[in-house]
Amino acid sequence: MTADLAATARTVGAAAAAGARLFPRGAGRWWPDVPEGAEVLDLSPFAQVARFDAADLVATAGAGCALDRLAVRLASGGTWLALDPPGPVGRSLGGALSAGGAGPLAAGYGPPRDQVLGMTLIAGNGTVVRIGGRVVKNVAGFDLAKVVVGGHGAFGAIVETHLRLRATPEADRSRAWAGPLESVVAASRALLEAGAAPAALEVLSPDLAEGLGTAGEWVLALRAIGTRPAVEEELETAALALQSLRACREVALPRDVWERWREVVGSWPIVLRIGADPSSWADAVALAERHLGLLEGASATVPRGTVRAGTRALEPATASSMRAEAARRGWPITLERAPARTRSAVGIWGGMQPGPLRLTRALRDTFDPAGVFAVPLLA
Amino acid sequence: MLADELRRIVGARFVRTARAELATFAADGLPTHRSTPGVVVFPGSTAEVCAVLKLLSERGVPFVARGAGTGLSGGALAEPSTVLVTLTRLARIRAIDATNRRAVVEPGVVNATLSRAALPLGLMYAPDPSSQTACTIGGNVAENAGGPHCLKYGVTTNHVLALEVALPSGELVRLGSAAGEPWGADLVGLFVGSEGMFGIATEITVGLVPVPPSVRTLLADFATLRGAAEAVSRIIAAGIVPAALEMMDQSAVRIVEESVYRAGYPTDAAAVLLAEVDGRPDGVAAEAERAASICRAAGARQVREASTAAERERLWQGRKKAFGALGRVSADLLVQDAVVPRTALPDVLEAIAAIAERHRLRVTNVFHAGDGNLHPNLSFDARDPDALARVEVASGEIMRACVAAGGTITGEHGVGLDKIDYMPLVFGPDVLGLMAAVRRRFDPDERANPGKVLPVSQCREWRPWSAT
Repeated sequence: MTADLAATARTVGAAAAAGARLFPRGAGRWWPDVPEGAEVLDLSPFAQVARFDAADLVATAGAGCALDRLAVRLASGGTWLALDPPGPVGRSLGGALSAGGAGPLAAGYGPPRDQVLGMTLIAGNGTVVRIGGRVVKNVAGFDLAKVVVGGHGAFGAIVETHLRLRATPEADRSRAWAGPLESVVAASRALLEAGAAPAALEVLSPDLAEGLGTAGEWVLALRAIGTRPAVEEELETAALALQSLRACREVALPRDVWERWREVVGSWPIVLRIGADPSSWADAVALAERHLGLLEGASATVPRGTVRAGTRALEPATASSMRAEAARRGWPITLERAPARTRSAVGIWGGMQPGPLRLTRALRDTFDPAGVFAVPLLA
Repeated sequence: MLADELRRIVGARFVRTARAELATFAADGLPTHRSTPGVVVFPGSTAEVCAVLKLLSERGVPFVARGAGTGLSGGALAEPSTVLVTLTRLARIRAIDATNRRAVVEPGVVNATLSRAALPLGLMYAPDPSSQTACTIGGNVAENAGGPHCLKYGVTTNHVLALEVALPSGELVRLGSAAGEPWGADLVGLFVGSEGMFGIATEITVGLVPVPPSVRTLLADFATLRGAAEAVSRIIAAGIVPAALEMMDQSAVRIVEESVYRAGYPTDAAAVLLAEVDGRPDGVAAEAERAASICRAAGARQVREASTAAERERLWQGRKKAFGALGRVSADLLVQDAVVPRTALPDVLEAIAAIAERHRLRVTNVFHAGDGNLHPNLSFDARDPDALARVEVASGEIMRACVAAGGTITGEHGVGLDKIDYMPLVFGPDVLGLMAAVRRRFDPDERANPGKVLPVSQCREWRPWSAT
C-alpha cells in the first residue's frame, strides 16, 4: 500500500460527510483495539523519512514511521531524536506524538511537543493542513501543533512531522541508587537541590525496577548525555550528593535499561499519567495505589513531577474519584493507554474546570467539525 | 461615555484620553507604523482586567493588550476606535517556589526583574530577549519571546507552565497545571504566541532553571561571514549545546565600538561570534576548549575567552545593546526578524546584503546564529517617504529570500502588523482559515487585538467538510 495524502484526505472528508467514524492508526502497537463502530484510518503507509538535513538537525518523517527504524536512520547522519515514549519496538512516530507520549528524557529535553517543529495534518473535515515549519524557532501564526501533539488523534490525523534533532552525543551514561521509598524521595530532592540537570532522572517502583533487571527496591536512575567530561561530572556530582546523604546504595543498571523501560511500561494494560509536582511525585504514587490497589508498576519523571501508574483494570467510578482527589491538588490525570471500552467509559481526560473544558470541546469541534475521529477524549 | 465607565472600574487616574497622553502609546518598537488608541486604561488587579473586558464586551469595543511596548512587529498598536489595556500596574511576583523550580508572576513583571528575584535561590528565568530590562513577561507570553540564551534553554513556550487568562468576554479561566502537564488539550501551548488575540494573561506560572555553576564566554573573530557561519554549524554538529551562539557582522561591530557600549570587539573582523557554554565546571572547560578549536579550524583569526565576570559582562553588553548603539546611526531602525536553516546562513546573509545594496539601505546583522534566527537591521529616516518605501520593499524581499531558503518570517518578534502581508508566504488559505476559526473559539467577536497576524482576505472559510 502506498502513501497517498490526497486519497487519505478524501477518505476523511467522505467519512465526515457521511457521518462515519474513523480511528487513526499508525503501527497499531499502542491502542490495543479499535473502538466499536469505527473504521481504521491506516496511516502506516506514511512511513518514509522524506527529508533528513543532518547538518541542520531537522528531519521530516511520516507518521507511520517506526521509532526504532527512525532512530537507525537518524543515527546514520550523526543525529538522534529525544523522544522515548513507552511502547513496544515498532511503535510509530505519529502514535507517540498523538499520545503526547513523553518518556524519561522529557526531564532534560522537554515533552514530545518540544521535538516537533511542524507537521502535516488531515483535519476532521478532510482538509490537509500544514502547520509550523522546518526551522528551530518559529512564531509565525498560532501554534496549532501544540493542540495536536498530545491530542490523541482527536484534532486530526498526523501524517508527517518535521522534527528537531540533536547531534549524537559523545557520551550517554546512567547510574542508579536503590533504597526504601522515603530514602529515594530524599535522594531525589537532594539531587534537585544540588542543581542537577540530567537528561533523565526517573524513579522506578520496586516491581518495575525488578522487571528492568535491577534491584527489587525503589530505584532512582540518573542518565547524563553530552560531551564526555560533562557526563562524567554530572554523574560524579550526583554520586557525591547522595554519598553524603547515606540514604541509598548504588546499584547496577543493565546497559539497555532505558529500552527495557519503554517495553515494560508499554506492556502495562492500562497506563495513567499524573501531572504532579516535582516535590510530590511520591504523593502521586500513593494516590494511585490508594485508588487502584496493587499497581503493575509506577515510574516518576522527577524534574517534571510526572508519574505513570500501570494497572490491569479501571472502573469509571475509580477513575472519577481518583481524578477528583488529584484535581484538589491541581494534578491532571490522562488515561494514556487502555482498551477502547475503558477509554470510552473513563475518558482520556477528565476532572477539568468548566472554562478549559468548554475551550477543549470547542477546539475539537473546530478541528473535527463532524466528529469523524473516534477518540473518546472525555467520558 | 466609555471612558467614564472605565474610570469607575479602575479609578480616574488610570484612564487616559488626552491627545498628548495618548500619543505616548502611538508606537511600539516598530518605526514603520503608528496608531493612536482612543482610550488607554491601566487596570490594577485581575478583577479590574475582567471588569474592563466585560464592559468592552457589552459595548462591542475592540481592545489591545500592551506590556512595555517593546515589541518590534506593531503588535501592541491600537487604533482610535480601540481601547488600549496597559498591564504595567500588574507587576508583582506572587510566588517563587524553589523546590519545584517555578514562579508565579503578574503580566507586567519585567523579564530581568524575575531573574534577579530568583537569583538568591540559585535559579533563573531563561528566556532573555535583548529588551529584558524593559519588556514584560506578559508581552513575552503574547509573542513567545526568545533571546540569546534560548539556544540551549528554549523560548518562552518551553517555560510557561500555567496561565490565568481573562477571555475577551471578561470570563477568567485557568489553563494548564502548575506542574506543566496539560488539563486536556495543551491550551497553554496554544495561548503562548497568540499575540494578544485570545485574551489577556493575568497570572503566569513559569518554570525556572538552576543557575549554571560555571559559565565561559568566547569571542571569535573571522575574516569572512561564511567562516563564522560555518563555525556555528560545526559547533552544533559536535554535540556541544552552547547556552548562546550569537553573531555580529562588521557593520554591527563598528557601530558598537563607536558607542558607549564598546566591548573590545575587533573592528576589522568581517564577523564576530559570541559563544557561551555553561554547566558544571569541568564539562564547561572542555566544551569551551573544543568550541574554540572548532572556531580556529573554521578560520577564526583569534579566539578570546572572557577571563573575568566583568569582561564577560562587557562582551554581552556590546551584543545586547547593539540595537541601542544602532540608534546613533540613523533616525529610525527597523529590526527585522526571520529564521533560516543554520546551513543556509552564509547564502542568505549574502542575499540580504545584495537586497540592501539594491535598495540603497544600510543593513547591519546582529543575530542568534545558533538557531538561524536572523535580525537584519535596516537604518533609515522614516520622515523620508522614499526611504520608507525602500525599507518596505527590501523587507519583503528579505522575507522571500528567507522563506525560499526553507525558513520562516519571524522567529521571536511575532507577526503583528509588520508581517501580516507575508503570512501567505508560509501558510496556505486553509491553515489561515483554521487559525481564524481557532481564534474565534477564544474571541467570537474578534475584538482582541483586531487586524493583527491573520490576513483576513487570504483566509479560506473553514468548513465542516472539505469539498475536495
